[in-house]
Amino acid sequence: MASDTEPTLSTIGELDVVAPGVMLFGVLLLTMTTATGLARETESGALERLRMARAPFGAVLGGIAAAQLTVALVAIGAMLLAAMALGLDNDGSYAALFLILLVGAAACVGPGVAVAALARSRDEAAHLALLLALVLGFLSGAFFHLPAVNLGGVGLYDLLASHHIVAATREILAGGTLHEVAASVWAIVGLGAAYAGLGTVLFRWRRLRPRAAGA
Amino acid sequence: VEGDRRGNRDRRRAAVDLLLHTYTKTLKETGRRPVYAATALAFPTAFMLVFGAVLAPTDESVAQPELQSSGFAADIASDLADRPPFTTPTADDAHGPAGDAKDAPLLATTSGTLGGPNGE
Repeated sequence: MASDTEPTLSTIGELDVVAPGVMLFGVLLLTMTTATGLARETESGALERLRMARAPFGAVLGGIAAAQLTVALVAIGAMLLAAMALGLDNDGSYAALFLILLVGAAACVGPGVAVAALARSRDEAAHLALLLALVLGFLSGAFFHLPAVNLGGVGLYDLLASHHIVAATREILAGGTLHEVAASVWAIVGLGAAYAGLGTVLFRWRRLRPRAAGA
Repeated sequence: VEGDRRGNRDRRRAAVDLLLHTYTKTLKETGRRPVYAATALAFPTAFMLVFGAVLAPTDESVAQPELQSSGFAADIASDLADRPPFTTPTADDAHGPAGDAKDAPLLATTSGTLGGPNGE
């Protein structure tokens, strides 16, 4: 461990316990930006026109993802500044926290695309995205211990990027280094890529499939 | 061939233009809708400020750390204290004495070891 002192009951305050969860929610809320952005394109008929013009959907998704990451840069930066101002007991590096949360924000693109595939309007997308953020937040283990759920040898929570975001954030706050949380960061990257792939497939199937006349 | 090349170049340029257009449009729209902008940008900071104000250590909690000796905070502290130390593998770990490599199991699991040197 990088820090000189082991975390003890007296060095971990309540704010330090909930901070990873608060940071996680800050990241998960960005799912809404992706979902509403894509839903707006669907609602306005822009995606239908792009489909007919055989324009690459990847460019639209890339633009929305890049916009989300720009928003994330500002939101996460402001959130960490607030945490510093409040005297959060961070034994690790704020730069490492920033990087982990930014990677986590990128992992939220996929769920946002999946929500946009299911929602019929922008408002519905916003509501569904908030609901999903709440579920993912509570299943992350940030606020209470969760019962172990095993799915054929793999823990259910290990399949959730939110769980790894909280684990990595908590480790950094306790004095860990990026090297020590590399496994969690790679898990976030891998799961984020998998979510993006699944979300894109779902969106293409639900929204970009040519419709039969009269359908 | 020249036509194909030009066509591919035009398609790439159109894709980049579309990406940039979507990027600026999404950012503008996020800024134009105060509810979405507030949710994405201001809520995380507001959460942190509220939780920080409510949960920041008080004189009482600093003086009586035993107040935190149970519950979720205690579990977290215990988890962090119990985790195995992180060590970076060294060249010696990879090419240790021959006796070490011979005796070591290939894969240690929580329920035992698998695949020893003689296939046990």
